[in-house]
Amino acid sequence: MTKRYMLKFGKEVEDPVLAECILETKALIRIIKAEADGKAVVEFPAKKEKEVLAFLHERGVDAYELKKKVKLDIDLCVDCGSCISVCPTNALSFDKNKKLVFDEEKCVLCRKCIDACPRKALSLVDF
Amino acid sequence: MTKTFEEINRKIKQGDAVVLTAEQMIDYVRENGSKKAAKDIDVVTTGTFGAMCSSGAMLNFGHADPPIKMQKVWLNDVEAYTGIAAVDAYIGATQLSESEGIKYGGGHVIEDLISGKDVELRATSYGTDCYPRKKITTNLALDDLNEAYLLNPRNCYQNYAVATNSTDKTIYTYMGKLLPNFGNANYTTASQLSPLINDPYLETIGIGTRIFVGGAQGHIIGEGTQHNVKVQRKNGIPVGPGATLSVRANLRDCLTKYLAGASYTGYGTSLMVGIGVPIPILNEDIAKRTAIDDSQIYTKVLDYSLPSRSKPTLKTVNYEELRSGAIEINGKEIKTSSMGSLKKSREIANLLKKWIEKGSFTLTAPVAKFPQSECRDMKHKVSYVRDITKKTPVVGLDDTLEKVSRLAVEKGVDHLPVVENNKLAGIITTWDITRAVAKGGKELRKVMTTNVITARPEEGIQVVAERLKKHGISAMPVVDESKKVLGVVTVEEIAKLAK
Repeated sequence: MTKRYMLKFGKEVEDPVLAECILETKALIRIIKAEADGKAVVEFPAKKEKEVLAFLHERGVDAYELKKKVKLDIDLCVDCGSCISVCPTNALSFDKNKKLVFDEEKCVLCRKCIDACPRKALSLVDF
Repeated sequence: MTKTFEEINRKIKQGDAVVLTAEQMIDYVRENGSKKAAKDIDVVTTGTFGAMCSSGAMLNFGHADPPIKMQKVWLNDVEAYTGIAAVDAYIGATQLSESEGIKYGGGHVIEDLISGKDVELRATSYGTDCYPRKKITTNLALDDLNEAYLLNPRNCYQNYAVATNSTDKTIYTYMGKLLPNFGNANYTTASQLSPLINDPYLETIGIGTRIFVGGAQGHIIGEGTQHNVKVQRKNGIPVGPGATLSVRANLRDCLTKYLAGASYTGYGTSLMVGIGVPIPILNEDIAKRTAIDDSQIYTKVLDYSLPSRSKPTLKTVNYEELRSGAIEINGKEIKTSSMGSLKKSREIANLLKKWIEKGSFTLTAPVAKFPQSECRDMKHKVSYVRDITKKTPVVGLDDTLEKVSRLAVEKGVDHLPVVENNKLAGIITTWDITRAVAKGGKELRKVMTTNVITARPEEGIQVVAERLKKHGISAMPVVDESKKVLGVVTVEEIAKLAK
């Protein structure tokens, strides 16, 4: 069981906070995505949640749990690609055989794709 | 080198026919030339898969006992048309469920029938001596029906526009979800694989042509509605909508893989239809035309934010650009989406190729060719914003409130567009000025409204009247593409027209 969080680093945070957090809490934190505007999406074991959050809070990092994720139902999908142009991170794309593929790691949960799918193959589910 | 349908069919039956998909034909002609291709290749198969709204199914339910002459009928709460004989009905793809709305419609009923599911039939009537029953509710599956035919009045548009959105709000259209500020662009055709692009002058296609429809062997029964041959062409291909097909197939032979219900948020339901047409290579000209590739097929990018028949054309692009995943508009890269599935289009062309190769599908010469018809818009009285646009004085962004109020009084107007560099920057009303005076506001740019609701000269009056009502305003500036102020349109002018 893992938990996914969106982290917002304030401007004053200059230390390698995440590295220190890993050393301190011994939590295996996976950085799924880090953006230039001081936001990052991370994943870590649920049993370390309390410790990790306490550490981040102390260091002034805001953490928001990502409780939902986008799911693609490939049985409903007809590979039309209507979702591709609304996706800001290229999480939805065609493979070389023009089959639609969803890269969950790239998804930022903006949800723009959900109502763009004419087959209702994309939905928000609990993470 | 010319061939006949009979010669090709003989080869098909002997298992000797040489068949290529339209994509394979491109390479073949490139390597061997069209003369050799015309000699070597017998059939080129095409394919397309996408939402085709003008689709539906003709159903006969069999008679109840005592019998009913259905006056109204619903299938899974989706109304079907029954203004024909007692238990015949036509279920259209875009008819919405009365309980679920846009989530479920006629297209989904057709998909459910093909997949073998039970569908609830509910019918009402006024009762007659011969048909006394006044209502009935029962569950029926496809096997329980008599005839069940897919009967699509318009499929397979030869080419279609690309849709994008210039406004600052997301719009939901039959061309899908269009993000604000040219956030994306959607297109629909299977381009170089598409049936009517490979036979652009309909030389081999006509009434009676056997084709692939929704997984079954079906037929072209005529030109589709809005069939249009009087169109602008580039490389022989219409730059936009052109010819269309009307098709028929037995629903029992169709597969949900190639016939699927669709629901477009904010628009409605449809049916995604797979169609494949075989093109017999009767001569070199036909061979040449089946070898056309995406870089030679053009279409227009239209601004779908204008809900009018005359949508502004932003540019002309070819399908090679569209398929690359992005096009450029006003110096900005814009992601593109196809509304149809290229993967399924390829599957269809390949399946049709296999059927012909193994002799289970032969070609049919058309019984009759399509008419050279033209598609026109509805005849009715149309009024446009440009017809009632009134000239308006404008003020500059740096003008003083005093100057603005003087101008309003002099010209007797309540609304004054504010411009900067010849472009609309805001609007100020006499009420804004009054409020500013009361509160001590001095600068025009702080007092004016910057998020201005505007109209375009080519918009219909009705659309604009709705917009005024929606925002609770009495006038709005009329602007062109570059946001230059052309005048104002007011509630008073619209009201005059209504009289």
